[in-house]
Amino acid sequence: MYLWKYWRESRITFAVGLLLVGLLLWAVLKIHLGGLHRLPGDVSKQNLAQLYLVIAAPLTLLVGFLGLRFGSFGVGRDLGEGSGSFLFSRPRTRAFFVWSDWVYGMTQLLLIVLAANAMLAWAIHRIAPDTAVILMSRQPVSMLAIFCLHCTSGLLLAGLIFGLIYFSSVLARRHGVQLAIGAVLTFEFFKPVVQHYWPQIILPNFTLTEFSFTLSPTMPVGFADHLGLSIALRATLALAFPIAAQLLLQQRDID
Amino acid sequence: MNDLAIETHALHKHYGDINAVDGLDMHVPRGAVYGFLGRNGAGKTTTIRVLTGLARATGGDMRVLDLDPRTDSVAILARTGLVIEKMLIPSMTGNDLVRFNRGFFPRWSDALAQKYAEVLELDMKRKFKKLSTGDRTKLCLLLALSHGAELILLDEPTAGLDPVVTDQLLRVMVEDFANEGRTLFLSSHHLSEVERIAEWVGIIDHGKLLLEGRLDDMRANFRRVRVVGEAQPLAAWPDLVSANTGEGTTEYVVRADADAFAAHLRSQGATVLDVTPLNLSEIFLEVVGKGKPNVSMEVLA
Amino acid sequence: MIIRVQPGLGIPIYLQIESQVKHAIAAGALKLDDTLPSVRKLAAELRVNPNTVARAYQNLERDGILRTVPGGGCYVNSQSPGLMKSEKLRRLRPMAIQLAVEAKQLRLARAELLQLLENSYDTLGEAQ
Repeated sequence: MYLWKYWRESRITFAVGLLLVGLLLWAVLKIHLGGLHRLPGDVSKQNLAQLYLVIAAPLTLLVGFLGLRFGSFGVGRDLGEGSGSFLFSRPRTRAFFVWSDWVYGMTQLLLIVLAANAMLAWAIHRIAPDTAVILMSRQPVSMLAIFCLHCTSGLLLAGLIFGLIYFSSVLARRHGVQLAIGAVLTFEFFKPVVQHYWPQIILPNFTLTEFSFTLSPTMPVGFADHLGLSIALRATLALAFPIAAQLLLQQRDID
Repeated sequence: MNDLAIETHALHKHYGDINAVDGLDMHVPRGAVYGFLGRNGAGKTTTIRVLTGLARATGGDMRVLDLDPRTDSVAILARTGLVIEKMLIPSMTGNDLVRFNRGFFPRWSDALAQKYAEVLELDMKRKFKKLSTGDRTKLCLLLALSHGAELILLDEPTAGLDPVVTDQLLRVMVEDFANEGRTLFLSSHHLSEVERIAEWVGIIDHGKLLLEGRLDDMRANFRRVRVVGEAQPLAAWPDLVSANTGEGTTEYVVRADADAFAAHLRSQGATVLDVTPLNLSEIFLEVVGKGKPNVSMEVLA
Repeated sequence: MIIRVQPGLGIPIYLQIESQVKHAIAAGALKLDDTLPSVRKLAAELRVNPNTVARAYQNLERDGILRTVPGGGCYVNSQSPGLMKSEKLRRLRPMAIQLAVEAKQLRLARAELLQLLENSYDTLGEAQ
């Protein structure tokens, strides 16, 4: 019933998301490494480091965009289209609808993030089957750790954007999505401005990129010094949005 | 078990300055057809939204099926069929909506939904956004009637519909009501339709209930008493609703005891022309205070 | 359809149904032992509340005009009304007054009025 409705709304985005992720990875690997065959001789660390760099940016954009898209599904859409009275007069609590949207959306995003990272890990493994990968840090780090870190980062990114868009769509109904996109873009735009004028203030990134590149559990600079803390903070923020959406809906009259 | 399906006491719903529901005392008996009558903007839709938990009351008490909508609206909605707003999910077809709705109601009946689709001549394969107003209302009604609800709440079901569709809807409402023994609560300002099927009537104006009771009683008790000449000086007569003088006669409308009133007038030497009944539309206009807008009104009740 | 009602007249619907049934019987459209539609069916056809139809049927049964059989089914009864003459006259009096008023207005002669009444009565013929 409600799951089926959500799936109906989101299945095309889900399929296209998976497809785009696959295409992106394939394209990057093809262009950058000349394919998935083993390279002769040593695989240089620079190549792999570059690979991560090259993939991280578009993948982040893609995951961000998917988070945005998924966030527009669910009750916000119904409120915007005028079927809010119908939906909320079904015998379920408003919290049920909010958290159903969240679970269904985040599950699909999780699957996409997992798929993307699994494909990447598999591709890397084919080229350089060493279990340890050395990037910019000095210690060898296992592929599994990288895989987990990237999945976490991707999921948190998706969750943050998903939550923001979802909350906005509940808050402002028709224009919520545009508002949220505006907010994200403004934030990203002002970051370099702030960095220029007030270099002592460092605004957090949407992803955990600083950790990805140095791969050390602590960062000398940044909003949160410890990886664990950084993850926790982002996760809290990502969860705060659906909670806020639930509270907002519970307070409000449904038109 | 309470014998009232809906009961409100001093119910209030304010939006800033606007008192949409302003002290509503309403009693809807179980198993009855109750016509909730009012002009546009009188507070009908707001009342229904408050009773179903879609909007939050700002004051007063209410009970729907013995439950408080403030805390148990989900339980109420599980046993209620509702038609309000008449907007369903635009991208879904009738069959999709049945499939969607089915999962929310354990007592859903596909057979019943199919029957209504046939009786109402609905194309269940068409997307909702492509349906006409009449078909949209019919589909909303189909969904509301197919899950074994104890209470059906319809907000202006015949608004904007042509006579053919109105007739179809009335027929379905009557048949469904007869079969299931539910409580049917419909708000409307199409009095001729309500007059056919309602047993009870509540007239709302500016958020307050002005009159409530059995329709047959109202029809039996409201009378227009016409008298030759000018208005008589009258001590306050409790059941007098209005008095109007014009064109050589004075018309009094009373809400009870017309014979006693006529006798009283005769005892004062007045010549009573006739005592005639009023239909629901006329009763409504009198109660709402718009019986004769262009003639001076004396409301002594 | 034998029975039709008009809600906007100010006359209660159940009374309209009752008088329609009586009229139908008087005119021979309904004969002894003919069936009437069930309450639900008639209510659906007329688009009126079933309780209204039920009330009319109950009144007609009380007056001996209809009889219901426990298994269902509503039949035209042999018209033994069980009403006292005084009650019958009481019911007809308002209509008689109305007729008299109209006739006076139109300056119809007494004999002509009586003729009119007799013609109407005779036209109903052998119906009970």
